[in-house]
Amino acid sequence: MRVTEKMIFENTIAQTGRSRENLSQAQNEVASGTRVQHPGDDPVAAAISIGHTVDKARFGAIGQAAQWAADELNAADTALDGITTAANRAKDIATQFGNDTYTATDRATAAVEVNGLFKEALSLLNSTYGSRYIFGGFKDDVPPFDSTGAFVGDANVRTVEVAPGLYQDASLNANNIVNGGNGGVNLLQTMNALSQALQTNDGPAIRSGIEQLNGSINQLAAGRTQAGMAQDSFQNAVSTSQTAAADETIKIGKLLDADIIDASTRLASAQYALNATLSAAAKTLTMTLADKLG
Amino acid sequence: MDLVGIIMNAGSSLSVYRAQVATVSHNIANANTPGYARQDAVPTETVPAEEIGVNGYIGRGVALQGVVQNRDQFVESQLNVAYANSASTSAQTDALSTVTALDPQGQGGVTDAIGKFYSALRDLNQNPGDLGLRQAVVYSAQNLAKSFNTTVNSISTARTAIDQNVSSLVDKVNGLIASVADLNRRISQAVNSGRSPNDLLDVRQNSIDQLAQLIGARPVPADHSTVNMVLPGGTSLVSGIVASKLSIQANNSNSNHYDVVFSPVDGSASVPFKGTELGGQIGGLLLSRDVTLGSAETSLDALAYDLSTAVNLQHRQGYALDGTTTNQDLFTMLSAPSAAAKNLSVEAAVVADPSLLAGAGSANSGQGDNTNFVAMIATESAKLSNGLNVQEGMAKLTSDFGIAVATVQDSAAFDKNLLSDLSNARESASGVSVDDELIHLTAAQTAYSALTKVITTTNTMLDTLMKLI
Repeated sequence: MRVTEKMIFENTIAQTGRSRENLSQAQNEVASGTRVQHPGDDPVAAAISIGHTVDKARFGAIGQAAQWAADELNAADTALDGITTAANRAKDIATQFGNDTYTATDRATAAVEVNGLFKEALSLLNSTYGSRYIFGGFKDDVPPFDSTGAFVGDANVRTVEVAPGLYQDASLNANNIVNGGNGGVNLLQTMNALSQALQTNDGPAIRSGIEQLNGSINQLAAGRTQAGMAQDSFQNAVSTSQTAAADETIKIGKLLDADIIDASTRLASAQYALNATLSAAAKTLTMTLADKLG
Repeated sequence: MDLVGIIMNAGSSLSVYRAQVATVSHNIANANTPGYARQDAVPTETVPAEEIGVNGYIGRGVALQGVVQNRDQFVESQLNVAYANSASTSAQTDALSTVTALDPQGQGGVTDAIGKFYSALRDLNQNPGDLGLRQAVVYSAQNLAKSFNTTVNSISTARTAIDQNVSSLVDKVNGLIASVADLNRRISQAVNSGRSPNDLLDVRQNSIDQLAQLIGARPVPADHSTVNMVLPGGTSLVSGIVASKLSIQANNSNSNHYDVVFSPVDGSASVPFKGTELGGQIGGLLLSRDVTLGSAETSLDALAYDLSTAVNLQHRQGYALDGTTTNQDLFTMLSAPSAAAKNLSVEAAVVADPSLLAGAGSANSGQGDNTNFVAMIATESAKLSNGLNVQEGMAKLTSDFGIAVATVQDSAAFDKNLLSDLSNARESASGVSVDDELIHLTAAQTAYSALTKVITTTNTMLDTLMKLI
């Protein structure tokens, strides 16, 4: 091939440009730590990373909501624990003062304690977590039990996601646990009745409260079990979501991040190539017959 | 042959070498001129030779046959196509590589906003009566709408920038079309008067090269002196000495982006070109604008429309915090996918009052009812009109755009290499080598010196003869 000076100049420009482009790409990759910045850099990796990015946000949100749900269930469990303690004390009182050896005065004094237990239980059943009443069902903006102990909440249970598309009960059905729903025992009514029986010195009524309170305590235990299981489920969701979100981060990194060793090697190689191109060009461009002719 | 004849022949031969030196000078001067083809001053024996005696002939020296260009037509015909292809793919690469709105890890992008919207919904689902979380959902919905707005705006801006680029390139093309037609006229006149208009041919070749790069026009030789310029779709830009004219025209069925329009010389109605009818830089830019970026914009519109419609349809089923308000949209309901990404916004009523977010599944069921929020979260995985969910739809959009960019980048690299090879082939055939020219110069100078020696010697011989008288 016949080689002209213009050809040498243009090839030098093209080769230098190509070497500088390679150097710039490698330098950018090393500096940013990112291999895929534009979808055109690796369309498949860019597209797959979209799914992982959304999944990462999804798992992060599921984990956060699950943590909140677990915290709220913990508050509910703590309240049920206090209510169970009150119910047990009421049962003890019913057992003790069911004995007819106690006088009306003794029983009236015991009634005062039962009234206190009633108020304590009522207060715990109207517990709030944040701004809402945790035993109100869907009607969680007002106290679910009025001052007489009547239930004004509802039996609905909220559900919260524990895995994509999979939901777990995140609140307790106070209607079943303490209000006698589904054929159970109404705890507050039972405590009220016990108080009345103590005040009226009605031995049989006092003794009949023992069984009622036993039923209530069993319901409370079932409620706590339910809360504990749900809490476990949410805690598991928190840890699995955190792991899954971390996995998604790793997957995104594998798809989009630069392999620093590879990028650094290419950077060194591009530097070497550019240096060689410039040296070769400098030597070639100075050779001309014009300098040799006299 | 007499001595005077020898001097006359040598004298006329000197003009050939003067022409060669002049040609070398012209070549060296134009060594870097675009489109210039190396010229040769071609010598030829002067005929007829003088007959001496029986079957004896003495030559009459050398004459200039002509000054010719060195062009390889095989390379030229390939180079024209290579110019057009390389300009097209380079223009597409430049236009598409600068669009960063669909970068996979771009902060504030649609993917990020989709994730944040559904995350906020999940947070609210856990505590549906919380006004702070409701406000967060409204913010995230606004952020989602804004991300669609800004992403499509970025694509739309890139498309508009292409319009402006095309507009200025069309002006340039018109100048070149007129130039080729005028050069056809001047070359034809020169050829018809028996001259070799090499430099005019070079200027025309340069214009032809530029027309190939700008719009993919190909030269079609019309006769021995003129070339017609024809577009890939068959439209003739230059026919002999007649130049057509191109213009631009806003197309209201394509968001008022510019069409390139052909104005026939006979004054008949202008005809807009279809994308495939143009090549070169303009063809590549229009392809990027209407196919790659146009598809991305359409897909983004469809995604915005489908997602907002799916969320709205579910949101309407729910009840607001007051327990009675229902049938409320979250996003402003769009009538059609067209321009959906640009027009997407959150209903003003919901922005003003986040309690209107309809999380309850039934009327007056209480603020803790999250039944409809659960259903709204499910829209994240619901199949949209294209059979994909929102995440898959966004991935497909990114993938389609990325593949288009990567494909055109690969093509551009291939076309650039091919063009480089063919340019080298042209340069090899037609380019000026200063070394060659210096050797030609030295050869001409040597011959010239030798001829002057012949004249001096012959003159001495004549003097000797004259002294005899």
